[in-house]
Amino acid sequence: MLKSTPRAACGLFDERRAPSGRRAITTALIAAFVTAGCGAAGDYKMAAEAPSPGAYRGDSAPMASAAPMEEGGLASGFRSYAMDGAVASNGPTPAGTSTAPPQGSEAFQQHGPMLIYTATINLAVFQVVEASKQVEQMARDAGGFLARRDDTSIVIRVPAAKFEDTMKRLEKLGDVLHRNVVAEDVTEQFMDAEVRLKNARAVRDRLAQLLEKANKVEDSLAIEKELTRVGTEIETLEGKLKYLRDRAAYSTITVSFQPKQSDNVKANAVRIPVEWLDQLGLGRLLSL
Amino acid sequence: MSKKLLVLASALALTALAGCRPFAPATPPGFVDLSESYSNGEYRSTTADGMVLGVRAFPNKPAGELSFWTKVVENRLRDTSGYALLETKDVKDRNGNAGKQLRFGHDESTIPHLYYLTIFVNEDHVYLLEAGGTKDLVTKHEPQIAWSIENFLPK
Repeated sequence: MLKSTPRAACGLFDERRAPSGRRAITTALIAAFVTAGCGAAGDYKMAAEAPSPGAYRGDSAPMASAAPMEEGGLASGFRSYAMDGAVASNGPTPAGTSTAPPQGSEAFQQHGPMLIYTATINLAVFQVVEASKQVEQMARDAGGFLARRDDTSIVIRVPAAKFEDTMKRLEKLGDVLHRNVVAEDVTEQFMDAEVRLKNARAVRDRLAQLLEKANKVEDSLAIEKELTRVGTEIETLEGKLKYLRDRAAYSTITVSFQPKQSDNVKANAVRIPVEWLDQLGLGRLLSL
Repeated sequence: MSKKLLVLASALALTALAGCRPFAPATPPGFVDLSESYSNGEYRSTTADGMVLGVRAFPNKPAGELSFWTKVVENRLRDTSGYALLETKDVKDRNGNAGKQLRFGHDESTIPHLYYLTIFVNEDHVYLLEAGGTKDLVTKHEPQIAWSIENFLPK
């Protein structure tokens, strides 16, 4: 049985040693749960194909399929990606459906891609102090906030739903020398982390059940060790989901008040070799 | 006697300088001509509070029209120096020749300044008429700037 356990060797168990009796069963169970919590890519398929942990115990106890919903809602302006039960299941997969698309794709179809918008606007250097204040006010008006500010730039974060509107307002603020908008699709990352989190929580719950039933100290220690590892993994995944959710819910806009880089000038504009063109500007004129 | 000679020499020098210039600048009331301090026929004048006018002429090489030089100057100031183009105006010199005035804004040590660059072009020369100072000063001296342009005479 142990040999048939998928990915039993997650670096914790030695398959060459044939365990026996109660200990072997405990070991096998832990290995099965660990397997469910391991790996990242391909977890959709793995989660669907992995046998229910209950099968190892020989009982029909229902799997912890109802993993708790992610705490907290998403910020306004972004479509909900909270777990809705459609992402993954640890239950046994009906025959012939193991190659079906991951259930997470349904969530994708329902909600559309999860996009993180970041933009940079390069404004000419004029009335920077006043313009900076206006940028900050625009962020507040949109329900966002100031993220960072220095002498030559200001970074704001605004709800994703207000991103386009804010960009239009910013572009009217001054002479726009350059703009750059990037939409990063993190749907796959997010859903992958969700699946892994759900699996890890299921493993944690089952390990807790096992711990209650453990009679030997060494079994308890082994389970507790595994619980600690799974707990850490859960925290990491929760952090990752929170980070992705936050970045998608609030778009980041950097307004920079400085000339374009000289490389850009060479690439985008005529730079004819006339000496006096380098002698323009207030600096020279006002040096009497 | 020596005083008279000095005055005469200065007058001759100014005449020679003016003769070298391919233009005749117009110094508005309230401005002082500082041309004596500059070589190559460059013209400068200023008010006591720091509003400065300047005129320079360069050979029209490579030969370009007004629209060409206007765009080149605009690109250079916006891209390289981060000047904000606030407005573009059509202007005329004393002879009625058409020119372009580019009105830029730029912060110098966080203080907003305005920089008006007026361009006239003929077959031989490109003329640059500059006016600059703090935003308040330039705004205050708008009529004088306009007068200096309307009375500018290319040669």
